Amino acid sequence: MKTGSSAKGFAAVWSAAKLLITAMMYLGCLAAILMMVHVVADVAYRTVFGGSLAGTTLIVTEYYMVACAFLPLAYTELTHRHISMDAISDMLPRRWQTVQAALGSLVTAVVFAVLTYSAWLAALKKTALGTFDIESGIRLYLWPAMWLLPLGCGALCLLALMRMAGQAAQALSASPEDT
Amino acid sequence: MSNLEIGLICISALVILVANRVPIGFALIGVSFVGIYWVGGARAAWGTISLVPQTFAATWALSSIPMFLLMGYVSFNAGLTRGLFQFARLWLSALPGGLAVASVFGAAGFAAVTGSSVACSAAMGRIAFPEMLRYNYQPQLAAGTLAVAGTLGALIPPSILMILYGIIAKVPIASLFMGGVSLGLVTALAYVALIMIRVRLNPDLAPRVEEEITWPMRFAALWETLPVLALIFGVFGGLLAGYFTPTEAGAVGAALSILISLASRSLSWDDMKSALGDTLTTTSALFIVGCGAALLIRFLALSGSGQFITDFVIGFGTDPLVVIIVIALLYIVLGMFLEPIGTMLLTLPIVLPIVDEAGYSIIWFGLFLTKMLEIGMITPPMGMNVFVIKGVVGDAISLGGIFKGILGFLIVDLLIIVLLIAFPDIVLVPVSWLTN
Repeated sequence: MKTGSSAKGFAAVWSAAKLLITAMMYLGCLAAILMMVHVVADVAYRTVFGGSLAGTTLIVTEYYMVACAFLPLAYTELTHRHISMDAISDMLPRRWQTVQAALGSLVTAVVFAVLTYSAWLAALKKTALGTFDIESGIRLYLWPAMWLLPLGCGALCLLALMRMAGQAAQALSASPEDT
Repeated sequence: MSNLEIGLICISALVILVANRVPIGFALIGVSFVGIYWVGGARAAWGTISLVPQTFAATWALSSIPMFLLMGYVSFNAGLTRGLFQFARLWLSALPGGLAVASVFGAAGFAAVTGSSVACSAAMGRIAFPEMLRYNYQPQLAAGTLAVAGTLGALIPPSILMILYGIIAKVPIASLFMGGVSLGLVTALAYVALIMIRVRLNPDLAPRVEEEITWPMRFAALWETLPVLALIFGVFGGLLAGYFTPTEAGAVGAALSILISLASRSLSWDDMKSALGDTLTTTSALFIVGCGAALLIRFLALSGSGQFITDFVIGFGTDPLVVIIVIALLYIVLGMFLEPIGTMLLTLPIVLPIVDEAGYSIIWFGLFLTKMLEIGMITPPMGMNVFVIKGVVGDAISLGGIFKGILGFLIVDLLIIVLLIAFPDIVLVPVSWLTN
């Protein structure tokens, strides 16, 4: 019974995490659409009126690009779309593949914990300073965009930790024949 | 322990992690962080890791990558490119192996709206393979042609590989694109020549299509290609006329592809959703590898191991020809196991200084490398394009059968590599037109 209820709790946390990861993916999609519209508007404005829309480059690079690159990180991992070398692994025995999967989750969790921590500190610092940049005379606040990186990396770290928990549970419960 | 030893230990660790299926980007970041920590201390390591990912992603020129991806996925999902094959088929059916020749030219057309060869193979495969079987083409020839024709996707601009190369090697992306047009056309013509010669020698490979094709039919097919022609013309025309830069061309192309598909009523909400999903997962997968490569470059510079490897290789074979042949062999081996963008970002920090030191033009090397990486897309055991074609054709032909069908094209590709080394002007002359 005890394992049943903890499994239920685990499933609930999984679905909550998946919801968060999917929501971040949608935000990334929104950033891509906004980037497209913004750049096209800038090109159109320049062609018709000359000059350019103030802040386009800054907003595209600091906001849209960072969002497109890092918000979907966890979703990409969830759907196994990150680039890895699978050719040799597919030929290895199952047991070794299980070890590789555990190694993958471990490296992912550690690397993205480091990234999340450093990006978090950087974001805190920039927020306290109220970091901004000036393009064509317009002051554009950049500190809110600094939170996109820790957010995306943190979600991937969380996903890797949950995978590790799942893999550990499976390793403990499975009989030797299954592994 | 000397910095050099640390560098070599870290590179070995990187190879072990990647061989054990750790995603390439994650392994690059982890190993570079540990390496910088080891060589330069905590301050250097935390300072680098908090700076590099953000600044890498926030690069204006890279913003064209998600946009070109979106343009390609939208065109593919909306079937904008469907007309290209029919058009090429009706106009070229008189040639020996006409349907196979048409697939190569159809792929060349699709390559102008997509930056990746997988998309190109998939798009052409779905349309052209059933046609070729219907007319009793040998399945090996049909599937092999489609898998190799897909490689044009990354040679003919836009090209994701070339954009990333341009950023890392600091060369103008427009120059790479210009050279890519030339390299892509040479490749397409060489494939077509091979198909025609093979069918001449053995007409059973591709029986002549007995079909009455009239001029009104041909012009009707031309009409069907109007949406994609409008897209290509809009993007490249606007670019050449100076209305927008190569970076902005991505966003303009994405917007145009959406508008054109909406106007021709071929884009459903589901198509759009799946195009956006593919765009974003591909973008984040590419960018995390890119961040890792940027970190590795810092580590190699800091530890001096990059310089050591360069000196070692250059001291070994002073003849630049030997250097480039060794590099070509390296990429053939890597291409058997790794996908192109991972291979490029993983190796460029080490290979680029060697090539530079050996006296090769960095623009030329970008094109040479793109071609090498695309050969990797069709070589066993890990030929992505072949897997894609297998996915499209199902049980009509085995994986081994498709690889057999590729053999002839592979020899042609290697001849093109030799040609590229012997006569670099094939790509460098078109590049020089751009600067004049």
